[in-house]
Amino acid sequence: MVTIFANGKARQVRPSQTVAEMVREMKLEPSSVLVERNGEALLRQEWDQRRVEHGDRLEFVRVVAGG
Amino acid sequence: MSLISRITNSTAAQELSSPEMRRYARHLIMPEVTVEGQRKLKASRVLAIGTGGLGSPLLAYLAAAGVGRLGIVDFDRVDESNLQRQIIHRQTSVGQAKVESARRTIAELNPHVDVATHEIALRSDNALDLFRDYDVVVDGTDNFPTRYLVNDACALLGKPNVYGSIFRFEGQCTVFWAEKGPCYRCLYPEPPPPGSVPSCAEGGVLGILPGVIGVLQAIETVKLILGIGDPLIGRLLLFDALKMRFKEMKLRKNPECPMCGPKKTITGLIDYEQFCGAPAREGPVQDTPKVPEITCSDLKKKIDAKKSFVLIDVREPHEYQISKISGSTLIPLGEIPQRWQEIPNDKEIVIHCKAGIRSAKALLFLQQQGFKNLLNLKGGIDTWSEEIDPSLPRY
Repeated sequence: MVTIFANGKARQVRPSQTVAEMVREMKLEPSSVLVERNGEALLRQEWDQRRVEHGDRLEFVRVVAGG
Repeated sequence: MSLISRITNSTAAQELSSPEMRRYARHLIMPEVTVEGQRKLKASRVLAIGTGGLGSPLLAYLAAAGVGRLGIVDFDRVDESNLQRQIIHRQTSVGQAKVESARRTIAELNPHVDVATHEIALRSDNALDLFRDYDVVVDGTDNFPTRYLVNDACALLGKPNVYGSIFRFEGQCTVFWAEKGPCYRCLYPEPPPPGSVPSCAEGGVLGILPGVIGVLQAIETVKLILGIGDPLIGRLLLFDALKMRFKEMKLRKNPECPMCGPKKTITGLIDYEQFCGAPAREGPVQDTPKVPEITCSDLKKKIDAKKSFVLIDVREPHEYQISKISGSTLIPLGEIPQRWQEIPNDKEIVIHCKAGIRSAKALLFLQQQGFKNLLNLKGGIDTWSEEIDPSLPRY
């Protein structure tokens, strides 16, 4: 297992886990989440290729729509 | 130079009167604004989509700042539950059209502003014609279909879309301008499933929160008009009122974006309600799961006839405090998986929530546990208080 930081909290994940898999495991609705990895917002089509690495800082931001 | 060429070209025609000079004195003495900048503001035309939580503060500040023409789109009427945050509306405006209420407040704030009211529902067949007359569009709407519609119309017309959104204690703000940076679809290619993202009507919002985000939108709008500073293009500003923290996310244009990418496939406006699978209105989502239902009037008859049944309320305790149907038992939806055995399975069960969606979910869960005699209260306690017991406060 490797340690990553999801929204600032340490979390153990399988090595070579993709961002898409993380979003699923965290039970987030993929269409309404933005993911930032180490300061860079990922495009939706990149989620399947990007594998998390030890020490990665990931931010998951949920869309809000109220006005 | 303004970031919008039409403003740069028409600034020369704008003269400031003596009263205007006095009014905008604090602007005129700043080298970033000066008389020239104030004339740009006077030459500018800004369209606000929605006069709700976000639209209220941004319209008030843009009016005070001297934006020459403010367009306001809203088809709604002022409701008492709006007044906790929609500060452009007053107690005396309850029941009136929001656009008229906003027009009155703006006229009192600054008589030099020309207000154009559009009391219409923004749709695919009217958005482009409406947007054409404006330099900047400010999105303060409350639903996904309209957000995609505003994004697409702005991208098609090459207009900047100053975006803000809010929920509970969180807000987000950015500037979408397809010519210069990402658009809404670059971030969210697909709309979320209907009902998966709660609205402020369902989840609530701190009344002051839209003040922060709406004012940020107003600042970005003025910066675009004046052509000063670093616009929030390609950056999403996130605000968390509980942590009292701002965070910034760097955004990229998506090369596969169907709206603004090099291989764009969208060349006109579409049916956004169909695209999002949801109506462009805040409030209960229409697609309640199909479950056996009972109407409020039939439930009333059942109670009056002293029929034996169990009434389960699956709302949260803080909602139960506001209003409850007498004789109900509170088991919040989230506790049903642990507490369902408290519910007798040999009696008829009527389940309700606020509007009928959570109770339908509870009903489906109980069906899986083998319950047979289950009914969902159609329209929830909201309809009950409207049709049966008006003494119950609605929220």
